[in-house]
Amino acid sequence: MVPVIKENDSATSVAQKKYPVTVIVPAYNEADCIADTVNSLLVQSFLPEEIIVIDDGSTDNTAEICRSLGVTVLTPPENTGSKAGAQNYALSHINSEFTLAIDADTTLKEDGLEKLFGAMDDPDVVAACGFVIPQKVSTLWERGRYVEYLMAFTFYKEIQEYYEKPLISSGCFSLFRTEYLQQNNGWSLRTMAEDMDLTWTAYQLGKKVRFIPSAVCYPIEPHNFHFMNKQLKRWAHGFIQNVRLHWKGIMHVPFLRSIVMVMCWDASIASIFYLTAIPILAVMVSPLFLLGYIIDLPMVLVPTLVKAYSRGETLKALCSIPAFLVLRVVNSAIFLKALFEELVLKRTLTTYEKGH
Amino acid sequence: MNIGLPGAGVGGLFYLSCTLVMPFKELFLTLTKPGHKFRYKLVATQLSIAFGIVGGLFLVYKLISGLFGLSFSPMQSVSDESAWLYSLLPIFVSFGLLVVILSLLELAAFFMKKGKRLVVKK
Repeated sequence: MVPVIKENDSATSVAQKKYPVTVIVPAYNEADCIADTVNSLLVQSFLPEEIIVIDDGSTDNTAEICRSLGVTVLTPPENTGSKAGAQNYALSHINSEFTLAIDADTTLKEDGLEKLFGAMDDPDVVAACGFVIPQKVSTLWERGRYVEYLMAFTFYKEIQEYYEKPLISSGCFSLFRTEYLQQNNGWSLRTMAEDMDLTWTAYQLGKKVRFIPSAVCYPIEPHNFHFMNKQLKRWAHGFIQNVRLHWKGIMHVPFLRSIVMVMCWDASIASIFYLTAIPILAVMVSPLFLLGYIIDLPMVLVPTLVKAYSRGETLKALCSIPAFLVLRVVNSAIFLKALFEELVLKRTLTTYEKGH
Repeated sequence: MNIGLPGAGVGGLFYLSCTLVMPFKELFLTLTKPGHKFRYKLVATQLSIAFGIVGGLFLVYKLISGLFGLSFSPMQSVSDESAWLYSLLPIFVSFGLLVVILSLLELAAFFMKKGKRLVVKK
């Protein structure tokens, strides 16, 4: 299927043609980074029909900056309370065939939208996402996340794409068929990971989701423990909530059920082993058991360096590996805490907190 | 979005196994699906990463055993060939665990599907 292309009155070149895409950018106090995000959208090789920023009750000048850049600004009557809420607010204003959802702190490579668009040739594809690389790689947490993304998007996600079941169409940069979003009443508020919810719902409806590695985006990642903790907490609770919500449905989706199962196992059982058995064995039996923390290093190192080398960032990646090992320990501890709260204490996380 | 322990555990082994199946799946698709082209670049890249990981794990094993004089064999007096087999024991155990987890999952999926059909028939 070839999307319908609308031309500007004065435009004749391909670069000036506008594609049937509306970009929605939920924003709350994003004055520091929103200009970069909007500017990266304005220089896309495929120009969208409209760019809508949802100023979700910002107390800074986010809205003024966006208006000065010539994009549409929507202002809900009051703060919607979450990214999904802000996106849903904009959904009724969208008339185009496709919707690009992008975070306010995320910039795109010039051909990011064009590359994602290619996935929509298949009418069964309802969502497509791209490769994520942190915009800033400076602090321990940003470095850890940098390695995590290089590894996961080069190895895990490529395999998920090969088997036609990417685990998640990332919330920071995804292209959707607007009709699919409208049929599902947009982004659901029932979990803390609305992007995962939307992706798994699509599979259960027999629809497809694609991962396009050449479509690259650059989000700003949490730079300190305070914000990283908030983000990881939201992700951990979101994952558990989605498994509880969808487990019966995804049992009928081959491969997806396998990746969710091994993820559950690694995040719970392996985390318990990692955080308790290894230190206990190290103290009680031999300190050599501490080698357990680095014994799987090639699993992280090889895909990370393959991607880093192609980007000319080998040294940066190598220097960031220790940060990843720290992030991994923190991630597993936060997941176990979330598991305990959700399943034992029955305390479901319902408050959305920004990750940066 | 990664949760828990990316890298470690049976998850890594699962993705390695999936990669090793890729060339066979690709060959099957090329032979049976009209118009399907063998995706050499994708398969070669992922296989290279997988073999790189396996090679890396082997190097780590050699390095640790060399540095600390460790023998991963539970029997110190076994021959070199047997010691090599014993050194692979953790991988066999992990792989066995993965097979058990996935088999139980498939079994559960089968019975859920069967149960759903019975409900529909009623």
